[in-house]
Amino acid sequence: MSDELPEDYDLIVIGTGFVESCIAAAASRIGKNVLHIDANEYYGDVWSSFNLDALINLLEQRPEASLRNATYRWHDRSTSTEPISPSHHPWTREALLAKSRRFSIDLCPRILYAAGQLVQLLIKSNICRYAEFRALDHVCMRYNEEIVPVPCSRSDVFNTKALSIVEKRLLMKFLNGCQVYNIKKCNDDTLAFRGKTFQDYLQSQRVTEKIASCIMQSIALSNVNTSFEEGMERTQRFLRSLGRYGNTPFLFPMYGCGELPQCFCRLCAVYGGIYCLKRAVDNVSLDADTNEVLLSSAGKTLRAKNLVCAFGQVPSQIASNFGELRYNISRAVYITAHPLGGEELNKGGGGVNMMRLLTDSGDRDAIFIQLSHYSGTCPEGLYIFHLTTPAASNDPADDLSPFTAQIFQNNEPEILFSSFFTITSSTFSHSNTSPIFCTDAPSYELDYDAAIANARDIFGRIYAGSEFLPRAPDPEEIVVDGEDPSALSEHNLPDDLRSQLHDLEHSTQLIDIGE
Amino acid sequence: MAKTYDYLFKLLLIGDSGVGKTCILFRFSEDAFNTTFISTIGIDFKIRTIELDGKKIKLQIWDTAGQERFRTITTAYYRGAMGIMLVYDITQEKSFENIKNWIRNIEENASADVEKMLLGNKCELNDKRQVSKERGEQLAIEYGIKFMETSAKASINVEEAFLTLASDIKAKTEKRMEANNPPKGSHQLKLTESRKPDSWLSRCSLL
Repeated sequence: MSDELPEDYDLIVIGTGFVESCIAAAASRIGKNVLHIDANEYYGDVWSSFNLDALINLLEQRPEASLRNATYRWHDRSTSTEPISPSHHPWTREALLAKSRRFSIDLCPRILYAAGQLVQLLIKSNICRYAEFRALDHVCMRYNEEIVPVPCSRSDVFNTKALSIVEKRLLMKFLNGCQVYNIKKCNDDTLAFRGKTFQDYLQSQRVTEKIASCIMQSIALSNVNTSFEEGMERTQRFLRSLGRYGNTPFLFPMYGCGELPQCFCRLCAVYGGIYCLKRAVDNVSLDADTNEVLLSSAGKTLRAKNLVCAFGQVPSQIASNFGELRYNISRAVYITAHPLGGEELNKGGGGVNMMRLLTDSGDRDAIFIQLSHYSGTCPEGLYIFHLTTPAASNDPADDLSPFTAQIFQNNEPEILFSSFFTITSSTFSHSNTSPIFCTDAPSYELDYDAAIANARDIFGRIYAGSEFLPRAPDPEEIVVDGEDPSALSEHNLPDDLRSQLHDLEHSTQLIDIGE
Repeated sequence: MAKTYDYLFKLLLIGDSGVGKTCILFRFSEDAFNTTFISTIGIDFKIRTIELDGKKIKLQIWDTAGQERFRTITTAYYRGAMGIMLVYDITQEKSFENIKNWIRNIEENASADVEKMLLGNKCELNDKRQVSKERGEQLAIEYGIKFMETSAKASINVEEAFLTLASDIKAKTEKRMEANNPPKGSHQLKLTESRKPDSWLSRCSLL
């Protein structure tokens, strides 16, 4: 097979981040001829996971479009005044770097609802066969400066010491009300809260302060400004995802979220998509006659009907279509030698846990994720803490300081390494006639709903009327010798065969009618 | 649903484009050979169940989906792989030289204890041979792995190669099970996984 890149494509996708990979897979799946390239030598762009060496490398690089304000620090033991107990594992900088490859550190970590949009999409498209997931062990909340579990399953409710019997009943009653709530069939009770905040509703239900924290922080993922409707919708989303895979309604992709774009890339490749990493684009122009996109890369001109480009990898020729650079997400990554919270939250060597944090005033929030070696993202005995909040400034450490203060207040997890950075974004003004589309940078969200919506939208604008990621058949279902053409997805067929198949189906229908 | 096998092994095929990975896969899984398979799209792994020492072993063998062409195999491809067939073409010197690059790639991305085997394919084309059998053997010894020359077209050694790899993985797996060190659990989402979530609320209304 030739190592020469073909020159003509239906679609060229630049950047192998989540949204671009979704679009590449979806286009390839319906028979489009796709070239997927990335300037980096790794998959995933800003949605990737990195080993420790690679992460440090990235943070030391000069700022690129999508990653800014990066700093990191080793919390060397030599600076600690505490005596080192002999039983203690000496996690020195060298010891961590020696295990660099055992780390898989996400720039944009996410948690999936077990019945959420991404899980549904993975199942529907059969891309789920390329990934494995860990059910989150615990959803936690901060209450009275302690980190306590939020009861999610029946056994949790029975066993938890965090809630009294009365509180358990109140929580049930409240959640029951949320579950039967229907926005279209409001009773007088709920009608009164239209246009008010979720907190107003919560207060009217006479729940205890602890229950209110539990719901606001962890179940409805709300803050003081969240509307009543939004809070109800989020609570229902939580309840719908319960009882599917584990004790909590959430999943985390094994080996990190960086695996997910790769799964979509694999599907794209299986359907004939061509992959090229470490491939920069030097120039982009439009063919005035055909409205096709011309890309020059490594001395070669590539031609495509459409171009989809990641925000961070936009060639300078179209960068003028962008608005001002915006600080989108402030991030912190910690590597620690101890998990957060007590034994209950960390049975068997550390939980894969999540906790939502709210500032005291309740108007700003952050997502905290603790990963243990069970997630495949760090060596046994070490923990990764991810903190994510919407950026308020160009100083991610300052943006996150109220939350770091909360989690480290009564806990000494023995921090070994810490890093802060900002993920940026910008709005892209797209003209209706242009064949060039730009994907959104990662936004602040728990799951991938906005990212999937972005991919669907761009796919829909290029291939109006085509199904977005229909189910890929299992290998057993594919008949290679083509004795039974209906066993092949008709999208795989060349145009002439496809029309034959349609004619065939049409005539069969006519016969049916005749009978 | 009752499990119809005792073990499930995930195997990978790795090597340069055009060395015959897909043909090896089809020879083993379908006992067929057809050069037009190469252009077949929509296939990413094949399954065949074999029997070894009275144990049913389901082999799930993954192909590279063309991502080897520009050296862009995803790290996700290597996850959970228990065995890897490294394939070169005895009529293409370059594909043999690249084996060491593929081994480096495996060392960077696959689990450290993955079982590997080296295959020199297209051994029916002896008159076009560029890589002697001795060099293949020598390279395998260097890496401490097993070696065979195969022909997917003439059906030589393909079956034997997979049975050898499977049997080595089986021995390793059973040894680990005796040491009582079961692998940690994770979930694979299944299309059939439509278990109606137990209504947590209604059950708890007993409280």
